[in-house]
Amino acid sequence: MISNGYSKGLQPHWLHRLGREAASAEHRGHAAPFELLEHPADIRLRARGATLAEVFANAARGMMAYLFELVEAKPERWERIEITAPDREALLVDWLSELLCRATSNYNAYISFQVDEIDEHRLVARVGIVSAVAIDDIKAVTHHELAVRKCNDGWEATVVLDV
Amino acid sequence: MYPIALADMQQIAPCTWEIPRSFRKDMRVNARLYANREMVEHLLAERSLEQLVNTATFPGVQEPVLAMPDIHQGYGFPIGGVVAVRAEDGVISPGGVGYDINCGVRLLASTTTHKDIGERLAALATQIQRNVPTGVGRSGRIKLSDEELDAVLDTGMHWAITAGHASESDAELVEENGCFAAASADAVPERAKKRGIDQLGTLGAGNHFLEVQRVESIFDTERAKAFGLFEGQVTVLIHTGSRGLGHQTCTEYVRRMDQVMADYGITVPDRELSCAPFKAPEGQAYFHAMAAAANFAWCNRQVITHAVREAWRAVLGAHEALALVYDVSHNVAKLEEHGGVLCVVHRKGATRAFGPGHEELPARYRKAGQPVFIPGSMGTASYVLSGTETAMQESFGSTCHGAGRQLSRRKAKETVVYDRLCRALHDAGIEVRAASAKGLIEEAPEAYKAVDQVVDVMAETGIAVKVARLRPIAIVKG
Repeated sequence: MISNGYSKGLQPHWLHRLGREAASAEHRGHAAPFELLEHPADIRLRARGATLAEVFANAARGMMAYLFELVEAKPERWERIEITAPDREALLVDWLSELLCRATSNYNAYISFQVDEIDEHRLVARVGIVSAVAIDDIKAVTHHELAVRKCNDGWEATVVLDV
Repeated sequence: MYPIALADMQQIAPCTWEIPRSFRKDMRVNARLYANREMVEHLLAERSLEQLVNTATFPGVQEPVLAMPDIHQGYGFPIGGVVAVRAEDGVISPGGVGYDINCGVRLLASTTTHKDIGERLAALATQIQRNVPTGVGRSGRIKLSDEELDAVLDTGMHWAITAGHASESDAELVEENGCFAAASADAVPERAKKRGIDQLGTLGAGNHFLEVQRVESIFDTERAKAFGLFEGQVTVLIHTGSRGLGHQTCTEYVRRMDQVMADYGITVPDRELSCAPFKAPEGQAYFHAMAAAANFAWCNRQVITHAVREAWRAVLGAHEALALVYDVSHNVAKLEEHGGVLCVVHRKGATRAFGPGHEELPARYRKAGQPVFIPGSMGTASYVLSGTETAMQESFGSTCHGAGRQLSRRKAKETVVYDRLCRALHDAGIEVRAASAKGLIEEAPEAYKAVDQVVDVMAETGIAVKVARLRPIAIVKG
C-alpha cells in the first residue's frame, strides 16, 4: 500500500480521496504528506517533507493517489529515473511529468519512491511499479503557482495539475 | 490578493468592459472582457482577469487581448481568452493553446426526428457507448503502427479518408479542411507519440462527452437551413481533443520555451506563459508540433464519428445517415490575417467565428457565416451560433466556447448529490451512459455558468448570431 498513512476502504475512489483530504486537516502537528486542494478548474497538490528528497517523493505519492485506486500491493518491478532541470521548481515539474507520462503510456501505477540523490538541478530515484489502469486523468503538471520552499519544519511544494 | 476591482474597469458598451493598458505598466495593450454586470462581479472574486492582464504583456501582442463571457481561471492563460500576436516579430506560447491541443466540438445532423426515434433512444445510447471507448485508460479500437501514426499527424483527415473513416465531404467541413498545412510528425516528441498511439478514437474523461440532442428552437431560419438544421431534428455533439498525445506535446514545449526565453530577452509574469518568438526555431518547432497534434484531434473526432454512424445504422436502420455540420477547435493557435497584419491567434477556450464571405469557409456556409457550437453544461442546452463581421472587426474572428466552469471539481463533489442528479436527468427524459459517478458529478449543471447568459452576451455584442438551441436526449461520457 502507498505509505501515506491514511485508511483505505471500498468506497468509490473519489469518496475515499475526500476522506483522505479531510483526514489531512486533522493532522495538526503532523503535517500531511500531501493534500489535494481546491483550484477553480484544476487540482492544486501540496506536499510536505522533512527533506527535499521526501517532499519530492510525497508529491509523487499525491499525484499517484489522484490517478489510481489505492490497494495493498508490493512493487512488481523497479525503474530508475534520472532528471535534470534548470532549477528546483522545474525539477519538480519534470519529475512529476516523467512519472505521469510513464504511468499513462505504460499502464503502470508507481507506488514506491526512493529518491537517492537530489540537488537543485538533478534527481536520481528508484520507483516501484505495479501494472494498473488509471481511474482518473491528469493532462499535465503545470508551472502555474509553482513553489518548492523551505519552511520551519522541512520542505513544502505546491503544484497545479491540469485535470 | 485580487488586484483588479470594478473601478479599474471601464464599461464601454452594455456587455463590453476594458481594463486599460495603464492599469499595469507591463501591459502592452488593453484587455477587453465581454460580460454582463453579474458575470463581472463574479469574476472579480477569482483571478481570471489578472491572468488576462498577464497575456497583454507578450512581445508583439495585438490590441486588445480578449476574454469571452465564459472566461474562468486557468493555469497561466485564462480559459476563454483570445490573444493575437504579430507573426513577424511576436511570440507563440504553448500555454496559450493549452495541454489539450485542438480540443473541440463537432455537430452531426441526422435526417430523423426525436419523435421518430421514440423508444429506440435507450438502445441507441447503449450502442454508442459500446462503440465509442470512454473514460480514463481506455484504448481505442484502432491499432496504429508508428508509420500510420505519423500519417495521422502529417495529413490529418486525409489519413481518415484513406483508412475508410471519413468521406471527402467530411474533410471539407472541418477547420483547415482537417489538415493543418504546418503539421510535422517529426516535431512531435517521441514520448507524446507513445502516450497517444493507442488513444485514437477515444473520448477520454473530464469534461469530454458525446450527446444526442434534439433541435428545440430555431432563432434564425435562413442560417439554420444553411446548416441543415430543423426543429425536432436529432443531432449528435462530440466534444474531445488530442488526448495524451497533445498533453505531452504541450508539456515538452512549455519546458523547452521556459529554457530559451531568457536568450530572447523575454520575461513573463507567470512561468506557464513561457513562449518564444514565432519565427525562432523553437517557435516554429512548436507550431509544427501543435499543428500535428491538431491533426490527431481531428482524426480522433472523425474516428468517433465513424463509430457513432455505425451505432446509428445498427439501431435505426441502414438508410439512416448522420451528416457532419462542422467541426470547430477550442484550443489552438492559427496564422490569420487581421487588419492587414499576419497574426498568431491563440484561442484557449474560445472558438473561431469567421463572418460571412470569409474565404476560409466552405462554400455552403460562406453566406451564413461560420457555424459555431457552444456546449452547455450536462443536461442543459447547447447552442448553434454563426460568426459575424463584427467578430472579424472586434475579436479576431472569435467567440465563446461553452458555459464556463463556476464551481471547482471539489466543490461540485461536496455539493452535488449523485442520486438527485441522476433522477433530475432521468426526469428530464435524458438517457445517461456514464463510465463513472465522479465524472457525472464533476460535470453537473450547477458546476457551470448558465450557457444562455453566455450566449446572450455574445449576441448582444454582435460577435455571434444565435441560430438554434439544442436539448440533450442522451449523454455518453467517461
